[in-house]
Amino acid sequence: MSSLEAGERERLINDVVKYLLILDQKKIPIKKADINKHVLKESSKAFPHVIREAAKRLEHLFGISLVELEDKHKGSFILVNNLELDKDSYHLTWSEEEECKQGLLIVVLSIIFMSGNVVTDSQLWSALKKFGVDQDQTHEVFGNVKKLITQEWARQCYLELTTLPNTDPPIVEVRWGQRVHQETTKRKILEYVSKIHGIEDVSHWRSQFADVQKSERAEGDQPTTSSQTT
Amino acid sequence: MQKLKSSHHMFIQAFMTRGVMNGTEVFNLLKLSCEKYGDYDEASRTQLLLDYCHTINSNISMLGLEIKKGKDETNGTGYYGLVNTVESNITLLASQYTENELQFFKMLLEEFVKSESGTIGSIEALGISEKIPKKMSKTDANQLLDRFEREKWIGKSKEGRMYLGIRGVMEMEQYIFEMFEDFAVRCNMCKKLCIQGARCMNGECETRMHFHCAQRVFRGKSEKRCPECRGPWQESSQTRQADQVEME
Repeated sequence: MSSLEAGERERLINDVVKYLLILDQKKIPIKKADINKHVLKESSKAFPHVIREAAKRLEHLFGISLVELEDKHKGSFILVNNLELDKDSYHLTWSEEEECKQGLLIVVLSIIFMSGNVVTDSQLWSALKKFGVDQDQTHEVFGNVKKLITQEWARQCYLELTTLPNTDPPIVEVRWGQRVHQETTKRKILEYVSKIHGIEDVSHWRSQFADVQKSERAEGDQPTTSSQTT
Repeated sequence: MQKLKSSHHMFIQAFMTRGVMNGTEVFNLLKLSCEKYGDYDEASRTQLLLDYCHTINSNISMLGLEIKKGKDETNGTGYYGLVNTVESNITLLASQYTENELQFFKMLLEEFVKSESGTIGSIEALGISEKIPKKMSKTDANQLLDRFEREKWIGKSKEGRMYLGIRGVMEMEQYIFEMFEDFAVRCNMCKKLCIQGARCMNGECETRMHFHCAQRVFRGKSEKRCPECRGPWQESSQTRQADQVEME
């Protein structure tokens, strides 16, 4: 970093902040390679320092956390809102289409969670049929649902799709994507499912409630990391 | 520089998703943010709003962002918006539109600024689809114009004429003064960019004012006289004539 002047450093940090804010609008994880290509360019060596400072700035100015994803998405970043979003503090407004999509997403996430955190795609489609959502038909609100689930939400890391090897016809497993774990909790989804069923006490769902408790215990052991740099 | 709190974060996040808000919406947002994360006193809300904008602006200016206040040129309604103060490749507008669509917008701007009334008809607007680097179909152009309108970059009157919308006026003011300096005019009263407005009828006098600014200047006056040259001022009926001439 000593090779860069302070002014130049500031400019790069600010440009990265703006770049992250803008690209996150599409909800697709932002790659380190793209940040280097489009913003840092010849100063790519400064990435670790710049991204750390950019993360701090996002927290301080907007209340947004920069989170680096793991495993197969390592080297990509998403932005996570630090503010609790509940019905009473609905300061962010989305289009009706987006709100409907979010509703469907919560249904899908619920199906996955209640089935033990993983379902096959055929199981998912069977379950969705009961909600009037069919993979072969264009839905009047959601459009091409197959594309939404297998492409859009997979790219945005709301869902994680894994094709099992040596299966014919191919079996695809569907799990929660990494973004979901940042934006909500198993407990919240269980509460949602309980509410729909008119059940007050979430412990009614034995195995799912045990799952919730296990997750919360595990989270308690680890400090939450808001940003990590490579 | 005062540190930003969660209430500030909530306030600015709303601007990031909504672009512009009118006075009522902004005060509602202020109330929501302050009640959730701090204190709110209805009686001093005007001062509180000023403080919030000032505190946030001094913090975000390093990013070339600012919460600005502007007025809709057609009716004088006040709006607040989060705008870019620097034009660069990395702007909030640039992200959501393709390069070609941005070119379309810039050509629209040129038409608005150079027009007599600050408005253009839909045929002229659609005609831009043939002037941009990558030609666009009329259908796509129509959809793009609808999108610009939804996001308040442009507005459309009852008669179907298009004009620069509140968001466009707030964000593009600097750009317009730089790019079209021979055509861009300042309102004599508020000194801000004036694209739609009334003018002095004296041929040699260039004075113009926003309709809402002129209303304030002439309130209680029996005769409308140009503040600069004392010549006769444009009557509202004459505005329509100017529009009609352009439409032919």
